[in-house]
Amino acid sequence: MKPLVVLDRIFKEHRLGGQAVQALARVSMEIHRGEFVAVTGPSGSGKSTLLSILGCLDRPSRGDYLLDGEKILQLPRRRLAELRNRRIGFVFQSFNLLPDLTALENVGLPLFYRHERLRNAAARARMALEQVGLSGRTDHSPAQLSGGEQQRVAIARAIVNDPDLLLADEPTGALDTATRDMILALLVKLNRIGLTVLLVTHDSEVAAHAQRTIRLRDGQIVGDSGMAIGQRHSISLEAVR
Amino acid sequence: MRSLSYILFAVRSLRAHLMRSMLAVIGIIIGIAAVSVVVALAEGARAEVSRQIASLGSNLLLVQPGAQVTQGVRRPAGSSLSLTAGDAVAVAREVPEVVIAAPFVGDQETVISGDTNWSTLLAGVTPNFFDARGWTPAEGQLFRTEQVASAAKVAVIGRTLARELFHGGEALGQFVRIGRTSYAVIGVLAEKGQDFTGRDQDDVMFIPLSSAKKFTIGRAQANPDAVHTILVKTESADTMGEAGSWISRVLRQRHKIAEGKPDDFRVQNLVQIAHTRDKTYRQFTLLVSALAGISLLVGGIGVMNIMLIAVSERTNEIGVRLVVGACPADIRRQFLLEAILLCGIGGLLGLATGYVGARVIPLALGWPVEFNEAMAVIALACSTLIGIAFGFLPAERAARLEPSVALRHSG
Ligand SMILES: Nc1ncnc2c1ncn2[C@@H]1O[C@H](COP(=O)(O)OP(=O)(O)O)[C@@H](O)[C@H]1O
Ligand SMILES: [Mg+2]
Repeated sequence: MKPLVVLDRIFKEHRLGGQAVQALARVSMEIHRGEFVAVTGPSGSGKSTLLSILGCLDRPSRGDYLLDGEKILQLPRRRLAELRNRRIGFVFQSFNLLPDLTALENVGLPLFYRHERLRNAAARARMALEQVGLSGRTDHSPAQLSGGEQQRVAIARAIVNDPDLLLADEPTGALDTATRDMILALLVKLNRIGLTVLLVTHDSEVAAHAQRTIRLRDGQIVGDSGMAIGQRHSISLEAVR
Repeated sequence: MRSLSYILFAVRSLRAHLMRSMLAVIGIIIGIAAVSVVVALAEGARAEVSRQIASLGSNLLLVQPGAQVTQGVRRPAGSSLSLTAGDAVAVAREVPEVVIAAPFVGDQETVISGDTNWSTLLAGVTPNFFDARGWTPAEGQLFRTEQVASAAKVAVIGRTLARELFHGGEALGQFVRIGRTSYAVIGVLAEKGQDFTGRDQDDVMFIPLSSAKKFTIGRAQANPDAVHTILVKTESADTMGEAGSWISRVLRQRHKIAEGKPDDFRVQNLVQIAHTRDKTYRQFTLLVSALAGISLLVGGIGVMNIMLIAVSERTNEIGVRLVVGACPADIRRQFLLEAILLCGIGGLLGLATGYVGARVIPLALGWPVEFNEAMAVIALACSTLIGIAFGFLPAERAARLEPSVALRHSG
């Protein structure tokens, strides 16, 4: 089966006041549909940068990124927005909900940007909230919700468009252990029903829930537990080049 | 449906930052209020002037004693008494373009009825004066040539005078007194309103020219035969210029003015004077409008300022919207719409303020004001345009943000 994600020798430099910071160097990997991948590494190792690139929030400085076979590098901003909208769900440590909108409206936001009709959107947003166990909180504003509930709203927003790939950047970083476990259980459940999940964490207990762990250091992959067939294949490919 | 949701989004975020939105909008409110009041005043003045021009009657020339303009100083009309009723007759007879030449004397006098008195313009005229103005009585009748010949003690009064003397009671048949002479009121003129100098044309009492000379005005004059004005009606508007110069020639001859010496009278075209006033007023309006427009511009800059602050404060929100799939055009539209809405609301409030101002000004200052729907529509269109013009830069800045950069702002 064709991999969902192919990164081929990705480099990413951030410019900070005229100085270039090498955030990713020669990162290559493949992710297949249905995988649950944990990305770990010390702070500053490039995990968030990797997720930004996978999530089409940022473009690599060099290298190829194929999302379901489509080359991302040359796509216009408009098309990137469309990809973020339809194929990718994003969950952050700080939830990133819009404070002026209710839970239901926050969840419906991606549908609004794909021009879904209002009634349809409301129904789908309600279903997504149900999936994360929050059907009773539709009209609450984020401020009225606990951290765990806010993160569940964020997850509902990430899955409302039925994405191919869920990207989570330290989603449990701001939560206590009980809530953390609940969020993790939710992500595992979503993965069981077919969602591909890529989760950044430096909590080894969280990483233990994943089938595969990728280790980053100084912008490079220093370990990949799930050297699956596809992965070996890509390495051999690289050798051929 | 979709645009409705965009508008709702905009309304909500404006409401969420209510204080800031109000501050942003104050400049627009003031600007639009100023513009609409100025335009309402200008419209009112223009309407007034055209009403006055209409009320002047067509094809009228005014001949008054005194030099035209001497070294820039105009002597008050009637300061020398060089015109006579005979001049009026001569003008009517000798200038073919002249249809009517009506002599007029006038003075401010106190009129008494019972225990009420009122200071009004007492005018002595001949019946053809009413013909020249096209005035007809609303009640009763005008005096006739025989009554002028016999210096009858009869009066035709204006509406204001009738109201002041008789307090809404019957005026016809009543007697009014000036000095020791009583006049029977035989007619009340239809309402005329103000003339172009702002004088109330209904605050007047007309008596026969002969009576005025015999009992009041003429007695006080050095030359009892003098008249203060000759009102001339020409046969058409086209012949007014020609009639004017013929009148001058006739009068110079009659007054025996030597070649090269200045006239001792002046011929004025009332409509022309009114038009000149109108033009001056229009230039003034333009100037004030420009000032009001500048205040609107300042208001627009205020909105731009607030929108720029909003964009930088809401960078994280923009990032979140981009993450869930908003494209740059969506972001641009959102902020542009907010600016337009802000200015539109400001425009509405400004218009309301202007409307109230336009109601109050005539009461407080007595200036005519005309507030119409077309103006309201233009004012709203203006404020919307300002929203587009000054919302464009902030919206563009918001739309240019890269998602990863925007997100790094903690919200
Ligand atoms: N937008 C940016 N501008 C400049 N430097 C950045 C930016 N984003 C990340 N970096 C730098 O790139 C490196 C990797 O950052 P990041 O991907 O956030 O690492 P992690 O998420 O693993 O902590 C760090 O040195 C960080 O300071
Ligand atoms: Mg990070």
